[in-house]
Amino acid sequence: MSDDDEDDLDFAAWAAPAAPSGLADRVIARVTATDEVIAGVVQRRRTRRVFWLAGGLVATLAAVAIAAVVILTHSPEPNSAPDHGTTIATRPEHVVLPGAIANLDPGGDISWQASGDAIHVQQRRGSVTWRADRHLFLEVGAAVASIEASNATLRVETRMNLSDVRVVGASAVTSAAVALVTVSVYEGQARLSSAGQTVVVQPGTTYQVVPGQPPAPSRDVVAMTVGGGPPAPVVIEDAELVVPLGERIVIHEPHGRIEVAVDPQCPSDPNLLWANNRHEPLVTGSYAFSHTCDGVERKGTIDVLEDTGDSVVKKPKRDEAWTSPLKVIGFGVAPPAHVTIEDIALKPSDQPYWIAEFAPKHPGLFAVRIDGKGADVHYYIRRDPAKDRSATISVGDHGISTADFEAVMKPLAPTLAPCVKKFTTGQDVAVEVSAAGKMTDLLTTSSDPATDACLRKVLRNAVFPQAKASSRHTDHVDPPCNADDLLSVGTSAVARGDHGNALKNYDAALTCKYDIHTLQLAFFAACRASKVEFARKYWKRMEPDMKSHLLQMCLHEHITQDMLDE
Amino acid sequence: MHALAPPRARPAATELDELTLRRAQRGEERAWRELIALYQDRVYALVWRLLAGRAQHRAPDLVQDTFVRVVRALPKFEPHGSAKLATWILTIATRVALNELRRPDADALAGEPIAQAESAEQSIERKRLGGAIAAGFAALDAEQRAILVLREYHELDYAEIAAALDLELGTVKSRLSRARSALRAFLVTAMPELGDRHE
Repeated sequence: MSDDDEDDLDFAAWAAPAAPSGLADRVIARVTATDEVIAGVVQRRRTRRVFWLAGGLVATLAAVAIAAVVILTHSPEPNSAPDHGTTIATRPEHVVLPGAIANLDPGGDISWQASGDAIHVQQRRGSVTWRADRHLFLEVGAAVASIEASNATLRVETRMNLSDVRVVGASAVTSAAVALVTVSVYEGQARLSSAGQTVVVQPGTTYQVVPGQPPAPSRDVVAMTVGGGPPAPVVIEDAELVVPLGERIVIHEPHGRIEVAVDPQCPSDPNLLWANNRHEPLVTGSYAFSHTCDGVERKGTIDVLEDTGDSVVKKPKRDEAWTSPLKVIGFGVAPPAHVTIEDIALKPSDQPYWIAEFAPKHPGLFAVRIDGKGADVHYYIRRDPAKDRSATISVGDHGISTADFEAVMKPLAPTLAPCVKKFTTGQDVAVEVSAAGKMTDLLTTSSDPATDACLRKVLRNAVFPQAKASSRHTDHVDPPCNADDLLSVGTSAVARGDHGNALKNYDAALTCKYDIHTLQLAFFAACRASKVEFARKYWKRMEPDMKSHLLQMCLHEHITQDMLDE
Repeated sequence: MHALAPPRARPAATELDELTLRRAQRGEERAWRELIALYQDRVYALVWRLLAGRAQHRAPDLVQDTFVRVVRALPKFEPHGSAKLATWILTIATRVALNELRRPDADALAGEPIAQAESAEQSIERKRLGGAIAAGFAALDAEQRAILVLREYHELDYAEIAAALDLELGTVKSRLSRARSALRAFLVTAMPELGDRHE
């Protein structure tokens, strides 16, 4: 109601009556009655079609047989998870069920029965961390509570309520009556029912159920808080191609899979967004995307074509900065004058190509520009960054070493940080150092003159060691750190399922200001992002009781305790 | 006109939780019931107001029709699409009601007494105002009425109204403005004291 001239009139004075009772019954009766009629008609039609089809059946049998061989050859392996069973864990156990994964703590006791797209579980004892597939409805009966979830990660703990144990002996109350059920949701939602009441448990929250009582929020801290908020586009970390918003591009996909992100080019939101807003690799087709940046919605389309080559081609219709002479930044590659198309293994051409690292955060992705008006721009998708690096030309052999450069830059970090405070992820800089040890040129990824001027002002006074030649070095300038902001950004990323970005922010928050809560979040994000080395780093800083509590999530990501203990 | 305006009572913006929605989408009767229970009053109020002065007695049947359509179309509803579930349902209800008003025999019902919800707590003055508003809405043409009802009673924004009625955004704005003017004029005529208080 924010976008019009509201009336001051008391519209509520014209009150409407409530809906008549029994509406749902009548609606459902009509729907189901019609369904039955339709089912009958379909059945009759099918019966007739069987006879009609039978005539052609023999004629097509051979062809069908051949097709069947082909299909079977390419069919996915059948799901080997048993559709029913019982497991009592004597040690931490990872059980794969149809459409769900259960990580049982020792003592966990479950039985399950799958039917259709639902799986019904009785969790009689112990603690289990559940991951329910998005195509599945997981129903867990746990003593005094029942839990329903889909596309969610949650932990269900059933345990004796110790305060009631004395009562058991005295009044022979059943074990179910003294069970305490705790449900923590990490991702997605779950419906928790008890004593005739149902609550929706949101991510990052915990509810408890005691016998005869409705679910109640728990004050216990959830081990892995992932934050809430509305669903947001999934963010990917390792996009092979970053698409500038507002552009239409065509991808020739040589290897059957490419992850594409949209670079919103939005200073207030540096995240890269999924082009197709689905957590799936792009397949052949046309994908529309949109993103709102500073209140302006921008749209584009990505067409993914069949395997026709190994490069990405688009018309150069970027913004001003891009259509003007390309600003080439050294970031680990040779100066443009030394790089031609052959150097990066694209098709040979007589035209001079320039190279710049288009997405510095994504090694292996380079933009190549033909130096000619109206020419296409080719993006070469590199799938092996390590190999690709061999194509770069080493420069500055006779300048100062990287270690010498970093030794000067490191103490300058606090002074440089305020220069890039408006960029949440900081700025990459390329510094040219003269033989005399002075900065002679500075390039940044920023197009903000004030930022450039500030960085120059600081670096102009920097004194580097003298050398026989000039050299160019790259560095990253982080903005001043604010642990709370970083935590907030990280939690938003988790809510979007972007665990890589979450990890980056949590890790930065830890560096900025260490605390146990952030350590847990970082560990959780590291596991979800399958970054074992990070998870291990945090694992070593944890107390033993915290470790046992958090290990489940890593097991779910196939990161075992042995891997963490290495 | 603000002399008569207490704080406005907004309808609760409750939405069905995602899990129940998905259950409803795969045809679970219990979830259908939850969905209908959550939205039935909003849908009934919408349809009942749209039919004011024409065919309000048809409201229960049309609400039924609405939910039958909702349940049938539910598998196609995209939870993360552009429309919220409530907006989507209200859109269906609006179209059902407008179709009813476009029936050839609908005009014959013009002038039907406008029903008022009974409320013991309402002051006499407020009841008068309610009656005048109802009559004012009834005097609007069907599309203007739909726009104003969706805006004032269901908090749909311009874009949502445009989508619901398949109109251009600019058309919605201009018709909404005209509907407000027409309603104001009607009310000031029906209750001259409103105009006096406003001055």
